[in-house]
Amino acid sequence: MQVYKTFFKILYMQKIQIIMYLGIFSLVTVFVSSQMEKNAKQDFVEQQYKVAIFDYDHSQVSEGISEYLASRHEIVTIKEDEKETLQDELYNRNAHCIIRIPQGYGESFETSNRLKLEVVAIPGTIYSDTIEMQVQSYMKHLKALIVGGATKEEAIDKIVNILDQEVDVTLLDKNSNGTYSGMYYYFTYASYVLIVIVLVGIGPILFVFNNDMVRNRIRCSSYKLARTNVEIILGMFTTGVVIGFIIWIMGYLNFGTEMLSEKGFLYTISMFSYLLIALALTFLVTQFIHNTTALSMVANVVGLGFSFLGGVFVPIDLMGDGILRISKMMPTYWYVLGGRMIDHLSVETDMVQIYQYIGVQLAYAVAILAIGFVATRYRKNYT
Amino acid sequence: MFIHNFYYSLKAILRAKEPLFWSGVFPIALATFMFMAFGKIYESQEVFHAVDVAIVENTENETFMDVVDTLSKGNEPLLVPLIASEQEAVQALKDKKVFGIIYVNDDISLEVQKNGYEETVLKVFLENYLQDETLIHEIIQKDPSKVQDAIDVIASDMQYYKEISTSDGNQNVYVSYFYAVLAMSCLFSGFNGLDRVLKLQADFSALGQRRSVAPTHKMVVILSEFSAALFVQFMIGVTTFMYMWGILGIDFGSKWLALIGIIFLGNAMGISIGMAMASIPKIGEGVKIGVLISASMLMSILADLCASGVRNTIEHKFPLINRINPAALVVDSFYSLNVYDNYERYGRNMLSLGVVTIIFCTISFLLIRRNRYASL
Repeated sequence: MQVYKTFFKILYMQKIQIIMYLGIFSLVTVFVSSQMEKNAKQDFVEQQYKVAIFDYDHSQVSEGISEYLASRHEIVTIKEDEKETLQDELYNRNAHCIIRIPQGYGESFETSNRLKLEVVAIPGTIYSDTIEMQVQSYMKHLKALIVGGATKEEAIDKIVNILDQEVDVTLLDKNSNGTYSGMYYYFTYASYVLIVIVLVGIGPILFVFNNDMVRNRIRCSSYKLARTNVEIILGMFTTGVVIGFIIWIMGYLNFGTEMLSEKGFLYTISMFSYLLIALALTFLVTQFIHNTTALSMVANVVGLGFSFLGGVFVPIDLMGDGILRISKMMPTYWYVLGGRMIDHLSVETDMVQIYQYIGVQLAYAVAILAIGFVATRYRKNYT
Repeated sequence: MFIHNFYYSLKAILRAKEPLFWSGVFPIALATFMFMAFGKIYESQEVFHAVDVAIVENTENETFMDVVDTLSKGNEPLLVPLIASEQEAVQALKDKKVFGIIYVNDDISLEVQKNGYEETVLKVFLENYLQDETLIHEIIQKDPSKVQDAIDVIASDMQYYKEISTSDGNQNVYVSYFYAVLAMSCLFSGFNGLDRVLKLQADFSALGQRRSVAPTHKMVVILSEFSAALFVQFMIGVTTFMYMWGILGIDFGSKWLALIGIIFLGNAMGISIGMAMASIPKIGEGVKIGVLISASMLMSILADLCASGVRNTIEHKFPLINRINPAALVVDSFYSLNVYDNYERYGRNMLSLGVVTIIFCTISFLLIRRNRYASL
């Protein structure tokens, strides 16, 4: 196992680069997945927006509207009612809408010189329009109740019951409601990490073995060529498994025993089949590229290309038809589709389809490997 | 001597393909991927458009259909209704031609395919309708003579609020990714700075040895190298910017001179960091490159390169990091220029970038000058 041992000696020299990539990308992956829902939702849930309220009135009317919005949305606090602060909070979507209730608003409500409540928002956005619809609805119904004979106090009491009217909403398919768990995002982002780390970590080792001088020295030794190749492939495979295992462990630290469930098991199989694509791709790329810097360029461009176009960084549903046609050529597209099915795993899930998606990964790995072997033959004939 | 050095540095920089790839080709490729993936998300997801909805009228309800008709007309319609049979409606929902199906039976109900913005609009619309109904029933029970007054209030188009906007600039949060790509490009210009200073050092190359024994003042050498790198990187930065603006159609605002100023100072800052990194003695070239790549990537990631919202989270928890992270300063300069009427925040960021550049250039000069080697 001399070649196998040498493989790891060279790998050890790459340790800083691998740890660096693993550290940075894993931090980002963990950060992004931690921002998402822990569990995918199974029922329809109304969109809740972030609303900040500056109530300078503190009247029954202003408190009534504040309570109503709080029952429908997430109320957030903004440190100061300054234009620059509000702009930053709106731009970063820390608040989708800011309601400013001027002093004397409640008192002026029944008079002809009624003060207007201010809605600070990004105009024309779907969330500002939704919140404005609700504000308008509250005020309009309050006014209608007063016109209908109720006092202001009675109207504020009654409006709660009126606004309580909820419509029955059902989902066409509970297993495809557009929300995914943090685990889904973790494994989806892991595809990017795998491509970059495997290419950057294992690629330079293959450069060494592909070096004509080294290759010729090995050829004239008593070590069989087939054995050399098998040990190199074994070394690649072992390294890949270790990288996959590290990513799995980090997932375990993040999601706990959920990683041991059937869902976690399927995610793991899917990730390891994607790992084979990364390994095959490394084999292919190193047939054409022979220096670390160029490899790093290719790793980043391929990794980002697969991720952006394959639905890793941006949901597939948001892509236009033209981009979607390109997406379907990316292995990540099928990996993401498989991940979506795994995330909504239930007794009704078509398991065959999940395994088909995993099969597509394996087919990609075999196809890339085959191109790699053709490239090897080509290289051998022309050098 | 400055012109002579500048000219040869320029030639050397243009022949080194790798730094040019990282600061030019890579940001353009990345921006293209990003544009393909989410260039249109803001318009399609956040900007309000009339919501496509299928209506299955199993029970006749003239009032409801009148309301739907009213809301689907005018300058800013709320709905685009499709009157259909149940089978057609379900097919339209599956084909994503509509966001939901409203079933008009004795009760009104809604069926949707996912949790989303448009689906919520449909729910809010139906709830408003139900609330109107309940309110009218309530008034009929209490005082039927006042029902018409209440209906008039409900039907009136009086607006009870005033919408206020804080900026006329581009509020598309996804543009932050493109700001971050430009910031990354500025930081990657550090590869050129690093490459230039490594070629000055006697313990790295024969060229460095020859240049070390030349009687040229080190300040002249460093300034000429810096100027040549800045000239090339600035042209690359402007090209990347023009590509994003002209071809991809990213809206950066219209303060052109100030925008170009960010690219100039951002690249100067990137080059100075690269030069300072290269000047640190007794560290191998590989380690220096590795540290520069990882530091550049980390700073860019913290400035929203990979996930929008990271810079914002840092701003709320550790604001000092955003004040000293050069990538965040570049991103914030683009942002503040786009959304604010005044130049106050932009000026503050540019000042910080200038200070960072001067500090790193000084470090580089102090570390390189008067170097002595016991043996080479």
